[in-house]
Amino acid sequence: MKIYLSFIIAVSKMFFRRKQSIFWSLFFPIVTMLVFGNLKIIGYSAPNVGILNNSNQAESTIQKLEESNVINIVKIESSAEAYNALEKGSIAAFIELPNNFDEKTPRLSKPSITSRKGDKAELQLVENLLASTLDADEISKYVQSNVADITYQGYKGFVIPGLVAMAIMQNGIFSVIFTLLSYKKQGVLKRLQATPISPSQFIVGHLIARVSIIITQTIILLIMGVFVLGLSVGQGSIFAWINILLFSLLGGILFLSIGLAISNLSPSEESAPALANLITFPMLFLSGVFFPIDFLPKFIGYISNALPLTHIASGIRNSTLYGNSTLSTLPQLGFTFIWLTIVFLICAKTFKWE
Amino acid sequence: MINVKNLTKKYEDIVAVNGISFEVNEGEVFGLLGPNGAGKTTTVEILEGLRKPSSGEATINNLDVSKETKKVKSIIGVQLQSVNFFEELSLSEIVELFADLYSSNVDSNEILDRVGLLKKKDSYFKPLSGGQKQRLSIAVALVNNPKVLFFDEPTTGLDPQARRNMWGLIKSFQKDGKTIVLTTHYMEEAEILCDRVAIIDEGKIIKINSPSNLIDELTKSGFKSTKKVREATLEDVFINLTGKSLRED
Repeated sequence: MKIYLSFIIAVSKMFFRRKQSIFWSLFFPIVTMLVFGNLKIIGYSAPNVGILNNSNQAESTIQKLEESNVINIVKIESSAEAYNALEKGSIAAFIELPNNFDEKTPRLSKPSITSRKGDKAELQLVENLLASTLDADEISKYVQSNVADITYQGYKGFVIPGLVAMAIMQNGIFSVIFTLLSYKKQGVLKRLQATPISPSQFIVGHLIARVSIIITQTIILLIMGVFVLGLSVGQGSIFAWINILLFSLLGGILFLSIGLAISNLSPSEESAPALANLITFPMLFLSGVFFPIDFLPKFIGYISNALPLTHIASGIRNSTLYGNSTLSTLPQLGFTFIWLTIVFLICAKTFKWE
Repeated sequence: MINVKNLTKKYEDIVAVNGISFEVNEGEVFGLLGPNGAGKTTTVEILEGLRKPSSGEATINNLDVSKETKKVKSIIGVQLQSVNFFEELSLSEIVELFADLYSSNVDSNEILDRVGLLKKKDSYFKPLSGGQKQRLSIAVALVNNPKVLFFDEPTTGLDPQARRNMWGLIKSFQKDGKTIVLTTHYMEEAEILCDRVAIIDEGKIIKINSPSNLIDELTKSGFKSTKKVREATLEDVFINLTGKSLRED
C-alpha cells in the first residue's frame, strides 16, 4: 500500500514541476473554456416557443400564432416533452391550451405560458403576443403565466462539460505517452524493473497517481466554470458532483490505459504522439464536445455512439445540466467501463519495461 | 554467494551468453572483463533478474534468479550501465522513492552522505555531472542494504578524479562485507579493485583467476611487453598536477 502512496506523491510532484504538463492540462483547457464558454454561437433569431394544444376549438388561434414572425411555433405532444425541450434549450417557453379552451370565450379557460427562470423577456414577448392574438384587454385575465424551475445555461452549459471530458482524454493519453516513453528511452523503467515491484504494481501505482491528477483537474475546471462563467452544476443536486467524479475516475483510467497501450504498441518513440493524435483528433469532433452529435450525418452518428468520449461527455453534461441521479447515468458509466476493461487488458498484456 | 552454471542466453540469431559457469565468494569483488558485445551486460542482467536465461541456472544466496526473482531483487543492489532517474525529483526524493519500492526504511541523508552527495540532496537529477549521476546511481543501489552489488561499467566516461573516488567507494563497500560484481573496460581498474576476474569473449569465459596470477601466468610463458615499464603513468602525472579532489561539487 505504501508503494502506491509513494507513487502518488512522486508522480504528482513531477506533474506539478513540469511546465508542459501544467500548460496542457490546466492552462490550455481553461483558456479554451473561457473562449467557448463566452461564445454566442447563434446571432439573434426569433425564439422557439412550443405549443401544447389539448383543445379542438383553437384552430385560428394557432394559425395566428404561427403567422407571427416574432416567435417560431414548435408543436409539442406532451408536457413531459415540453419540459424536456425547455431544459435542452430547443424551446424558450411553451403555451398550453387546456382541453376546454375555446377561442371564442378564452377567458373561461385560460391558456398558460411556461417559461424558464431568468427568461423574463421571452415570457413577456409570448404573453403580449398571446394576448393580442386573443384580443385581450388585460393580459392576466386571459393568460396564466408560470415560471418553471429550469435555468437554461445556453452554449456554455453544453460546451463546458464537453471540454471537461476532452481535458480528461487529453491529460490521460498524452501525459502517459510523453512521460512513459522518455522513461523507457532513458532506461528509468529498466531501473524500476530491477526493484522488487511487479509490472502490475507499477501500472496500478501509475494509474492511481495519474487518475488523482485527472480528478483534481476536473474539479479545478468545473470550479472555474462555476465562478468565472457562471455555470450551474446539477441544479444543486449532489448526484451531479458524484457522477462527474465517477466519470472522471473511469474516463481517466480508460484514457490512461489507452495512453499506456499506445506507448506499449507503437513501433517507435516518434510514432506514439502521431498515433495518439490519430485517436484523439476524431473524437474531439465526433463525440459531442463542441456541438451535439445530432448535427452529424446519421451514419457518422453510429460511429460517434461507439466512441468512449461521447458517453463520458454526455454523462458529465447530463449530470451538470440536470443533476441526473447516478442510476440514470448507468448506461454511460457502463459503456465507459466496458471500454476501460478492454483497453486495460490490452495495456496489461503488452506492457514492457524496455 | 553467487553460483552460475552453464548459463546460456540466445536471441533470435545470436548467442549472447554461451554456457558460462562461475562462482563468486562472499565478500569478494569479482570482475567481468571483455570487449564490447562479449556478453558481460547480458550475464549481469540475468543475475539481476532483468532477463530470463535460455538455459542453465544461476543462484544468489541460494535463491534461483529466474524462479525467485523478486526475492533476489530484494537482496541485491543494482547500478545499470545507462544511468537515468526521474528528472523532476530531487536526489533525496529519488532515494526515498526507491527505498519505498524496496519497502525499506533508510535515511536518505545517510545514504547520500555515503556517496558524497549530501550537499546536493535538494538538487534535481538533470544538472548533475556524470560522476554525480553515477554516485546517485550507487546511492540508489544501497537503499535496501543489499548483500550483493552489481556495478555495470561504473567509471565509464568519468574523469580521473571521479574514477578514483568511485574506486574508494567500491573498496569501502567491500569493507562492509558486501559481495560485488563489476564489469569494466579498464584493466588497471580491475587490477586495483578485483579479487578475481573472469575474462569473457563471444559469450564464453576464457579464464578466471586473480589479476596478479593472470599477469604471472602471462610473463612466465615468456611474454615481453613492448612498452617499457616506467615508474609512473600519464594518469599519475595528471593526478599529481590537478590534485585528487573531485571537481564537480
